[in-house]
Amino acid sequence: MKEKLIEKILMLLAFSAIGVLLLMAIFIFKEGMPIIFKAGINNFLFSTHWAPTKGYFGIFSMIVSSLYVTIGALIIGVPLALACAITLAELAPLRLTVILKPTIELLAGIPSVVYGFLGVVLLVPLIRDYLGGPGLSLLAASMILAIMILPTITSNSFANHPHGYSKSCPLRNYYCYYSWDGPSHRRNHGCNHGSRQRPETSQFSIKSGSPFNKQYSFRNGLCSRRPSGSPLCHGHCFVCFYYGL
Amino acid sequence: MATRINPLISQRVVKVQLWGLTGFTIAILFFIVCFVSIKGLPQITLDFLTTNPGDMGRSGGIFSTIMSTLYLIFIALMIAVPLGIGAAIYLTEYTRESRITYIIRFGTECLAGIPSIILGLFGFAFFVMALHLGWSILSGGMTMSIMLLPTIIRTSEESIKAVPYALREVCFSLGVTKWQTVTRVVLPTALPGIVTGVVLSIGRCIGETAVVLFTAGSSLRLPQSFFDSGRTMAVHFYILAREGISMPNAYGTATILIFSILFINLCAYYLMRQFLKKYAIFG
Amino acid sequence: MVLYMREKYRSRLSILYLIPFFLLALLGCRPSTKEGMVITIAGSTSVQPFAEKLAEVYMGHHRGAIINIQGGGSTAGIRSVRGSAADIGSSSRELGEDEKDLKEIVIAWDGIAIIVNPENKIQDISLKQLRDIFAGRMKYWSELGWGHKRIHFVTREEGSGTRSAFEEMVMHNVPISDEALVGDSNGSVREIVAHDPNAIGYISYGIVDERVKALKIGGIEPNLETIKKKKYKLTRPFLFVTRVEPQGLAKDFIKFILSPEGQKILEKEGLVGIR
Repeated sequence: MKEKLIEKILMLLAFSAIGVLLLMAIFIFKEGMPIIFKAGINNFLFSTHWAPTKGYFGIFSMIVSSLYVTIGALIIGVPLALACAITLAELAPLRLTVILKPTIELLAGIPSVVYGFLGVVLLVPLIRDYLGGPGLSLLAASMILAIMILPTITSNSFANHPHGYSKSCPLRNYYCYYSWDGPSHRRNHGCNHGSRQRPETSQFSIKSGSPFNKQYSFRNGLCSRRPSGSPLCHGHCFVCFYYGL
Repeated sequence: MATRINPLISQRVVKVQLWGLTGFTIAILFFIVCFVSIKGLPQITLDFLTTNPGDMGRSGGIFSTIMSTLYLIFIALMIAVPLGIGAAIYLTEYTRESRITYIIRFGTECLAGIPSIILGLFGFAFFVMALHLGWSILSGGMTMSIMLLPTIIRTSEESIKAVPYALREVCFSLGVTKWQTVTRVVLPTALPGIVTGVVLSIGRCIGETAVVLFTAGSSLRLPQSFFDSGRTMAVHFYILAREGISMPNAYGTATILIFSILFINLCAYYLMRQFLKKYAIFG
Repeated sequence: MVLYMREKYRSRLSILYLIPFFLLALLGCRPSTKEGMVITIAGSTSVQPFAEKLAEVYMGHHRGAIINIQGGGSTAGIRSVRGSAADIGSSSRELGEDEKDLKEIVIAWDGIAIIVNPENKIQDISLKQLRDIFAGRMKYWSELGWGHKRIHFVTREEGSGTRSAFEEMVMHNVPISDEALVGDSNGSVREIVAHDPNAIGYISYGIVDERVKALKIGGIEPNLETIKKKKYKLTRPFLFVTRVEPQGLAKDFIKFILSPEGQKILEKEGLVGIR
C-alpha cells in the first residue's frame, strides 16, 4: 500500500519536468500568440521592421543575426575544438592528457558574463582598430561564442574517441573520422549550446550592437526588448522559445 | 614521379598544425583566467568580502551579493534536488523503457535546451507577475531550479544506473521492499555520483545572470528574507561592467566568481573519482 | 560494507529531513508587506542610480524601512505598477495618452546630453544635424567638420524613456535608423561612446563624467543653469508613477525626495530640482 503511494508520488515528481515545460509553453504561447497573429505570421518572421512601441514586430533581422553568429562560432570553434580533441586523444602522452582534459572542462564552467566582458574589453577594441567599424560586431560575438563552446565540443569529441584504432593509421583518417562520426552530432550540441547561451547577457548585445550589416541578434533583441513590457516581447520570446527548442 | 605528397611529411605537417591549434586554444583559456585574476586579485581583501556595496557599487565590497548568491543556491537546490532525484528514481527503478519514459526524457532534454533568458522571462512573467511574488530570491530560486532540473535528473539517472543490479537482487531475495531498497541501498551507493551532479549544478547556478536578473532583481541590500530582492555576484558583475561603474570592483567580483566556480568544479571531480573508486570495489 | 554504509548514511539522511523545516521557519520571518515596510520601485534605468542614492540615504535615517530599486525601463516600470509588481514606477519621459489614468509626481528635471568621445573635435551641433545623424542620412563626421570617418550612432532600446523623450524632442516622427548601435542603459551607452572615438549617443545629463564630452545644442551648453531655466532644449522630467495615491512608506519616501534634503542630494548628483 505504502509502496503504491510512493510510486505515485515519484511518478508525479518525474512528470514535473514535463509539467514545467508545458507550463512554460502555455504561458509563453498565451502571451505571444496574440501578438503574432496581430502582426501576421509572415510579417512577424520575415519583416525587418522592429518597433514594438509602434506596433511593428518584424524579427527577421534578429533571426538572421542569430544564424550568422552561430555559423560563425561553429566555423571558428569546431576546427579548434576538433584539433584539441584529436591532439589530446592521439598525440599527447597520457600524463599530459590527464592534466589537460579536466582543465579544459573546468574552463567550461567560467560564467558567460566574464567571457562577454572580456570580449568587450579586449576583442572589440582590436576589431575596431584593425578591421574598422565600431568593433561591436558579429565577428566579435562569433569569436567569443567559439571560445565558449570549445570545451563542450572538445570533451564530447574526446568521449567519442574510437579506442580501437590502431596507431599506424595516418592522421588524416582520424581527422575525417572525427569530422563525420563522433563529433558531428556533438557539433550540433555545440551549436545548440552556443545559440542557447545567453552569452554575457547584454555584453553580447553590446558586442553585436551594429554588426557589419546593421542587424542585431536575437538574444540582444530579447534582452533589450524585455524592458519594453511583457506582452510586446512575448511574441518574440515565443519564437525564441521555439527556436531554442 | 607521383604527385602525391609523402605521407610522412603530411603526417608531420598535420601534427604540427594540431599541436599548434591545441596550444593556441589552451593558451586562450589560460589567458582569460590569468587576465581576470591579475586585475582582480589586488581588489580582494577581507574588507571587500565583508562589506556591503555602497554608492551603486562604486565603493564597498560584495558581501550582500555573496549572501544573495548563497540564498539563491539554497532555494534552487531545495526544489530541484528532491524533484530531480525523485524523477531519476522513478525513471530507473519503477518503470521500464516505454512511451512514458521516452516522453519524460524528451521533456527533460527540451528543458535543458531552453535558452536561459527565456527561462528568465518565464520566471518574470509567471513568478514575479502572475504569482505576485515580486522580485525576490524565491522567484529567482524557483526559476533557477527549473534550469538545474535536467542536469540533476540526468546525473542522478546515470549514477543510479551504475549501481550494479546484484545489490538489488540481494535485497529482493532478503524480502526488502522496493522503496527500502532504493533508500537504503541504491541511493547511498549512488550518492557520490548524485552529489557530483548537484555540485556541478551549483557551479552553473553561480554563473547564471539572465535568469536571476529578471526574477530576483538587482537590489543592492542584504536580503532579510526569501521574499526580498537580492543581487547575485554574477548580476553585480554584469551591472558594474556594463555601466562602467567601477572597473576594479568588477574585476574583483569576476575573480571571485571564477575561482569559486573552479573550486566547485574541482570538488565535483574529486567526488566523481571517489564514486568511481567505490564502484570499482563493487564492480 | 553495505551494512556500514547504511548506518552512516541513514543518520545523515535523517538530518536532511530537518532542512525543510528550517526553510519553513526562515520563510516565516519575512518583513510583512502588509505593514508597508517594504516597497519596490521599478522602471527607468535613468532614474535608477538617483533613486538608489536617495533610498540609501532614506534607509540610513529610517531603520526598518526597505526600498528595493529595480531597472527595466520606463515602459516596463509603468506596466509593473499597473500589474502591482511594483509600488512606484519611475519614468524618464512624459506619460503617454493611455497612461494618464496613473498618478504622476515630478521629482526632478534632467537634461538629455548628446555625448561624443573626448577625442572628437566637434563642440556644437544643431537639432537638425542630430536628426540627420540618427536617421542615418548623415554618415560621415566630415560633414560636421571633423575627419572622414563613419559616424557610429548609439541609441537606447525601445521602451526606454530616454529614447522616447529623445524621439519626441529631436526626431519629430522621423524614425531612428536601424543601423544604430543599441545600448540598453545610460551607463552602457556611455561606455560605448567612451571607448569608440567615432561614436555619438544620448544619455541622461546627470551621469555625464570626464570620459565623454557633452555637446552644445545650438550654442547652448547643458549644465544645471540652462536646464533649470529650460534654455537647454532637451530637458525631460523624472516621474514617479503610482496606481493610487501613495500611502505609508511610499508616501513618506516621496515626501523625503521632494523635501529640501532630498532635492539637495539630487542636485549634487547632477539633476535639477523642482524648486
